[in-house]
Amino acid sequence: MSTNPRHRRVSRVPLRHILAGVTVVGFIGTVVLAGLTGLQTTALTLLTLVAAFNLVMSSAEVKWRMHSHRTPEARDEMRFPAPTTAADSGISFGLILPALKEQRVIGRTMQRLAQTTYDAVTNFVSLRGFDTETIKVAMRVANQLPEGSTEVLVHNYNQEREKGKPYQLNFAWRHIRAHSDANVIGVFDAEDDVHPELLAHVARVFQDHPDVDIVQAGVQLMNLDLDTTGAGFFRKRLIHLRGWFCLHNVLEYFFWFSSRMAFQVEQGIVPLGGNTVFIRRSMLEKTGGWPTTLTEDCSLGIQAGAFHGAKVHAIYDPRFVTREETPHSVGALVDQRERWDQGFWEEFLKGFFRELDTLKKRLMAGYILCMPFIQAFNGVMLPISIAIMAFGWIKGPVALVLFMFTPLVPVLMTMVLQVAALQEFVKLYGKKLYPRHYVSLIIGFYPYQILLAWAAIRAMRNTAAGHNDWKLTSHYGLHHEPEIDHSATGIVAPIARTATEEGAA
Amino acid sequence: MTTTVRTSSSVGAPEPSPVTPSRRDKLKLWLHEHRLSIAVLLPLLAIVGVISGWNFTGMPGTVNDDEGTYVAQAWAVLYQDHLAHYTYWYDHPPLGWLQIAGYAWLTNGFERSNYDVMMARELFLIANIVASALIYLIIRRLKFHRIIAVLAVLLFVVSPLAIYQHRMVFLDNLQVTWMLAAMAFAVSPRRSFLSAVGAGFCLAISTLSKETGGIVVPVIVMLLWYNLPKGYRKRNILMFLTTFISVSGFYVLFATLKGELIPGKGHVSLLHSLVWQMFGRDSTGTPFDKGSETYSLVMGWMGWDHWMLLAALAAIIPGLFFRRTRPFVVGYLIQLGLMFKGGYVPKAYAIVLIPFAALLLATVVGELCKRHEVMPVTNRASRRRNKWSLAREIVGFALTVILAGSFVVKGLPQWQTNLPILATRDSGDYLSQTRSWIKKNVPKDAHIVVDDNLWIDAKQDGYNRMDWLYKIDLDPAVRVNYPDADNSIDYIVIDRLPESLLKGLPLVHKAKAHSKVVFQVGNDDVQYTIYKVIHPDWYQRKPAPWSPPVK
Repeated sequence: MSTNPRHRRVSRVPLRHILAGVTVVGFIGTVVLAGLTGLQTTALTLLTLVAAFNLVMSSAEVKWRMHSHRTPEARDEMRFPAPTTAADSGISFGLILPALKEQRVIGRTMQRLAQTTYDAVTNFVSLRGFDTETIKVAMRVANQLPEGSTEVLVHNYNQEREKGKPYQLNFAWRHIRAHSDANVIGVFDAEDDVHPELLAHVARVFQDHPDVDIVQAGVQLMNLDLDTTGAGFFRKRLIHLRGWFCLHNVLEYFFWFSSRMAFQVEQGIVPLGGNTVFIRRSMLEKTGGWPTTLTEDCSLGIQAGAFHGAKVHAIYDPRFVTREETPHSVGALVDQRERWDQGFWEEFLKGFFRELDTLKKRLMAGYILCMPFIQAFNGVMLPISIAIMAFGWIKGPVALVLFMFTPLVPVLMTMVLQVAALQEFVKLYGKKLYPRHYVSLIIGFYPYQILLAWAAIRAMRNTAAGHNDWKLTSHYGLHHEPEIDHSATGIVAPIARTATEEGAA
Repeated sequence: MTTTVRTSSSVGAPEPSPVTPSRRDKLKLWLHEHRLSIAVLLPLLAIVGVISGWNFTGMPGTVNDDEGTYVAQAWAVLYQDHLAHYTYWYDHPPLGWLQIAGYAWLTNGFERSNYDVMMARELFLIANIVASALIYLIIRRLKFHRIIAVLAVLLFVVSPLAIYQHRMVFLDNLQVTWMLAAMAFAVSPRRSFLSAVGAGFCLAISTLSKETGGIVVPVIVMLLWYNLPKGYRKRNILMFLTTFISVSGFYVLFATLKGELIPGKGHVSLLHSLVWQMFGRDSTGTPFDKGSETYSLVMGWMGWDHWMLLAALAAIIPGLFFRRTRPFVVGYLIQLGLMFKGGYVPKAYAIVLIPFAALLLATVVGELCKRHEVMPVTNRASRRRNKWSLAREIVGFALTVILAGSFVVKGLPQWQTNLPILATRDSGDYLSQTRSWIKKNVPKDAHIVVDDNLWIDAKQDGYNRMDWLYKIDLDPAVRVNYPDADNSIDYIVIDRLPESLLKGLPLVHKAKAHSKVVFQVGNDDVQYTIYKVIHPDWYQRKPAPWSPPVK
């Protein structure tokens, strides 16, 4: 947990310069090769390199997708320990629930959080001052809940500079540090469906592993289709069609939290998830709260690991996952992914991961942060390189053409894994599969990759253009924000009970 | 051969420290844990090497010219940049002779060796040693005793039938080695998904070495199924199948890319060859039909070692009772079933029977001789259980004694007769005698028709107007070099070729009809004859330009 003295070396060449250098050298190399050997050889060499890259990266993807299934023993590593109590563990939770324009769901989430079986929990609902609707609901619900279990924190943020979730998190964190003795801070989102027994198990992890600083538990998207309640026959079919992406999104989460998290933990580099993440107070004090980036969750994981040697533990149990829903449309999904990808990309460019202690970790961190872009590159280049060779647009020996196809082997394995995982998913969560789901799984596999690739490209373009605007999912519909009331900035709303009294007055 | 379970036998091994051990420590620990197996396996493999290697160029001789064909194709890969010395027509997937080519390239085989088929037999000797090690590994991974593992290896290697078949450059030998590798992966003690992928990959290589490799898929699936705990089977078996199918699929892809997948005018095709292999070839009959070729083939195998094949057949029944033997029962039955189905049975077919017979016999003995734990007698149920296990032990012991007795009475005498033959008879020399005669007596510009065993050697001796006897009649690209039909041929060099086969080659058959025997050597195995074609008086060779069939 101690800070490595080697950290924070300032003499490093900025990553942007390295990337620019590599690009220039690659370009010059290509031109020289073309001059020496002719265009055809150069094209064949480049295509071979692309295919080799595709092959390695697609194989790596199969590997992390299978990580938690790699041996029968492997899944035990992610198993939940038995529950514990506050008296035994000495762990007390402060859970932060940042929200904006979530008046429809926040009440239910607060109630659900309060049902926890663990006995030392305080919830902090962190809201923005202008969001009167949500504040109203939150106050009302908090008032109905047992005394001291939930506090509502309202703050008027600078709407120019303090946009987004990390500011709300940090505000709540400062409040907890000053007024609460919670020693583990957790984060949930307003639409989360949290299992009441989750915290008792998480506390046990902290109890059993004093060296663990951060625990990431599973999150799972649940809907294989978009909501069709009340729709007629034809409208229902239309909605099913529009919701083709849900399944792929669901499986992504399934693999991410049930397998890839464990893989990242083993590699010692973990971009954390946005919620159901629990951090020791001591670690949060070292990092000074959340980094105020587009994806504060990812940044916190990387920076805590790079600068403070944080040890992360990932657990997954289908019974205790936090349940969420997919975005409501393809557009919303792309917007969400664009923000995440941009966050990952900017985290990569910042190069904090280069402070990790071993070369292997640094490479792995680079790989993990670049994964959206690698996947995008693969998705676009694989069919192109195959087509170029197979249709003979550039002539090459048959052996080389066959090599172009080799990345399809791991891709096919990924597809088969998707089918197996889908069946596992419906079995675990008591869902029902229809033939249309299989159709969507197979036919939609590639379009979904293209969707992700599109989001990744837009994310890179945003960074290049210097856009840092929040492309938010509907839960954070900031584009509806009213005029800002600067006069109220910095005022802490009183805790729930007082506020309600005022409201009543 | 990694084990995750550390047994009590490893007392004295360095305790695993909380710090990750260095690579050297890991190696030390591994060597220590497996010291007994290493002590058994290394001498065993040395014995395997000696038994398979002793007189491996002398016996067997060349039973047909398949050996020469594969070697010539490997030669074509290296020296002509082509998959075969004549047009490659998807008779077999090319990976088998690509491996031979790889070996020849690594060891400079075609340059150094005097007789190229024997050079390729070196690779098969190595493959046989590897296969033996794999059999040992499979049996040990199934948690049988080392004695059982040794028994299986010895059956696989020492049976005269095995020695006879394993030495020859038949693709089936490579197929079996890769198949055994797939089986060893399937029973990996780590049970990781990568071992399922490995099994799929090895079985695909096996299938690409010889197309019949794929029929043991059920065996591998069974091994995976038994090896994996519940809840892990589906994903791993799916991974195995996906890897197997997608890697094997590259053969189809290759044909597609060359535009040779579907039959069409003016080119060979994979589909056509496949249909021909499966339905087009004349049936050789079933082993029940006494007049059939299959019957005489099986009798030929029985002449080398009838005990092993029949004992394995008998072992099927006890084999069905045990989980660990059932996959081998299925494997043996699949291979037998294919033979009894009554299609075309190639000469080398015994090769795929041998490993299953050896594995089945050894594991059945292993199961029969297993000591059952005696329960402490606490109630009637445990007393009954004890009685049962006692009865089982007695039956098992009795069956083992019968099996051993049958070997002493039936197997041993035959082994005693056949092993010296395999160790001493030299049938390989006749080929070099034939080669020398040709070199001395036949002019370099003569049109010679040879079998493939002599093809490369004759080529290397400078005979350019020379062809493989099948191609003259069957390959239109070669046929053009024989404008005067049978009169264009000057010499025919063949091993005993059945009349029925010759009839399918009208040109050669006709030429042979007006020829005289000028040279003949051989014994029971090989009989090389050189025919000089007598041309009619009026015949004057036209100075036809010779166009080589390949480039």
